[in-house]
Amino acid sequence: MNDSVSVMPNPSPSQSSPPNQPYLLANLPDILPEGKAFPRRAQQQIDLLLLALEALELGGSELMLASAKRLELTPIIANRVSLWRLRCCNPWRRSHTHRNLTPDQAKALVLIVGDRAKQLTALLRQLLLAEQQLRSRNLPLDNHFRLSEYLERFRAHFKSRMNNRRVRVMLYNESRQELNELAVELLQKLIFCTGTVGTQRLWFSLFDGEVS
Amino acid sequence: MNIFRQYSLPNCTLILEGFDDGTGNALQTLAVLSNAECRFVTSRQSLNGGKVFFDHLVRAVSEYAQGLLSGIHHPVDAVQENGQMLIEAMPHHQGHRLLWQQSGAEVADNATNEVYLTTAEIFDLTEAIDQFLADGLTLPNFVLPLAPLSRRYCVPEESLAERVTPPLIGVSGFALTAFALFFAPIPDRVRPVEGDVNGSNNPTEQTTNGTVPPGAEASGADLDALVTKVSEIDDTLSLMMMQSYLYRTLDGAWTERPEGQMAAYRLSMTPEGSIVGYQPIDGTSPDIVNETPLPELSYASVDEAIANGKPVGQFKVVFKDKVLQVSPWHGFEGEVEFDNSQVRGDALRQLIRNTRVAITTALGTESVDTSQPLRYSVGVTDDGAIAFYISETSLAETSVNKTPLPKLIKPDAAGIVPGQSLIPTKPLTQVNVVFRPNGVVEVSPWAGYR
Repeated sequence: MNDSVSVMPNPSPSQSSPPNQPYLLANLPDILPEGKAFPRRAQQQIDLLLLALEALELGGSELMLASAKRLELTPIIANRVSLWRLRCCNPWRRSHTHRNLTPDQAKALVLIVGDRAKQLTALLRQLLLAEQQLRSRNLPLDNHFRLSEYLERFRAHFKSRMNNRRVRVMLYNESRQELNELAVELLQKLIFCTGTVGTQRLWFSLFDGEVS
Repeated sequence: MNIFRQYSLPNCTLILEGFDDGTGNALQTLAVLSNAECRFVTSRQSLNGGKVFFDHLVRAVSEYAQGLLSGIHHPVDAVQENGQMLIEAMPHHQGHRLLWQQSGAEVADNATNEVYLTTAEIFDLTEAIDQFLADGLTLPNFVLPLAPLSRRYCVPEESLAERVTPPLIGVSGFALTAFALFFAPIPDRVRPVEGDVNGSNNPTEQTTNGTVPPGAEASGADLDALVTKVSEIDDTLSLMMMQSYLYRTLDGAWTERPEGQMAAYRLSMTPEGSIVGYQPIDGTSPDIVNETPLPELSYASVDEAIANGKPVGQFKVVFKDKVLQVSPWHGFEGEVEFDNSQVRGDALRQLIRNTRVAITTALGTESVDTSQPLRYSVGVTDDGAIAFYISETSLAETSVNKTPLPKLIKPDAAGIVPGQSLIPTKPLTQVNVVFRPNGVVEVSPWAGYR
């Protein structure tokens, strides 16, 4: 067995055995050298994925906290406020705190993303299928009720939380089409997080281009 | 005996066929792969191949999945000898294309080697491969560690040209500004022209120059002795008259003016117009004096002046860059006042009238070309002769040749004779003369009509 990929036996969306926290965090190795700041792009990615999860299901943030509790990540993410503070490390946020995530905090967030995504696997597949079918027939994405609901919620969340002074954010805000594309892209990334080693894949992908 | 392993996902089924390596484990281990097949049930496509195909498939799919997650394209390894697996995204979100090319002797023509997959299918394929990798009983030595993409392969979003442009513009703008400012002239250091108010000690030059008339270049000690023994003239009019005489004399005598010359001297002059002595100041070297007109003038001896006991005037003379500057050593104190005549009443009015007539007649039909009024104080004797003029403003001084005043003055009428006296000896009426831009000449008594 290789060292960097370790796997939970019998993965299935319904069952989630609660391994203890050190084991889980150890699953995600530290990639950057000590003291190097967490990459900005990665912080953006994590927050956007969490945003997509919120848009998928109402009450998303409560469910995220429940995941944190179940995965025994409460030392890192104790309550709603600390979760929000960690998410505000995203430079695009209005309430950007100009702080960086520590590796442990980032790992905790990634684990939450994975856990929530796994629970929403069925919905994710459904939406992706709808999207693919609509595109193959050249129909607008709003035709599917559930998909358009997701897109609308995503756009609303994005507009209300992201700092419009940033050029990228402004460009997104001006184009409904672009925001929709972003939302669908995030759906596709989320489905990859539902796999057996989804969390690890996500974790490693965050550092693409950041290491020599 | 063949062993089959199957990993089923909603969109994709991965079937591996092979056999045991015969080590006699209790559990059957698929140690040698003979065939691998991917069946995409929804789109009814399938991929097929042997170990080589499977090797490439696993690597390519894993890298591609990481690329989808991060948004950064993961490059495929260079074409290897035995084949190439290419996965790429289709434009306009139409899905992904997977292309397998096997080179070498065994090219299976009947197996399809190009498929078009949706994202969900790609994910299911990835998941199937991940499950295979996790499976300890199938090809246990096949490991594929995940690793982030090195920066070397990461192509930045903006090209190098775009990223370099702003700093380049900034640096070149800075360079251009510096270059342009290079041509801005360095301001000249203006040495103060007025003499020191307190007459600080000047560096004395003890060396004598053979061509200088003996006795003319007084040493500092001599001049100081002169000043202490003999009083200085401080009357403004006298100083003005002497200054103007000195200026005219030096200006006329200074025929050769070298470039970039800088020489300054302290001069003493009697009221008759004789220079008693001069002394270099402000670090002027003694050799330069030959390039000034000072050696050519007439001099009285210092001792005679001391013996005479008459007051002398002290002046500072500067020869600089072809320009002559003469000023009293202590500057002018107070305004010019020299009205000491007794002419009054009607005679005064007549005097003024005559003066005006004289000026306007001399002006003739021309008018003085000026945009500002030119003011002069004119000294008129009791007989009506205009003895001298004093310019009230520097503009008046420079424009005086546009007026008829220089032609009209008769200094000797007031007893001003260089060599005898530079200061008027006869009583004078001080008259204001103003040449206005509209051609009017105003003549009025300085002290008013009395």
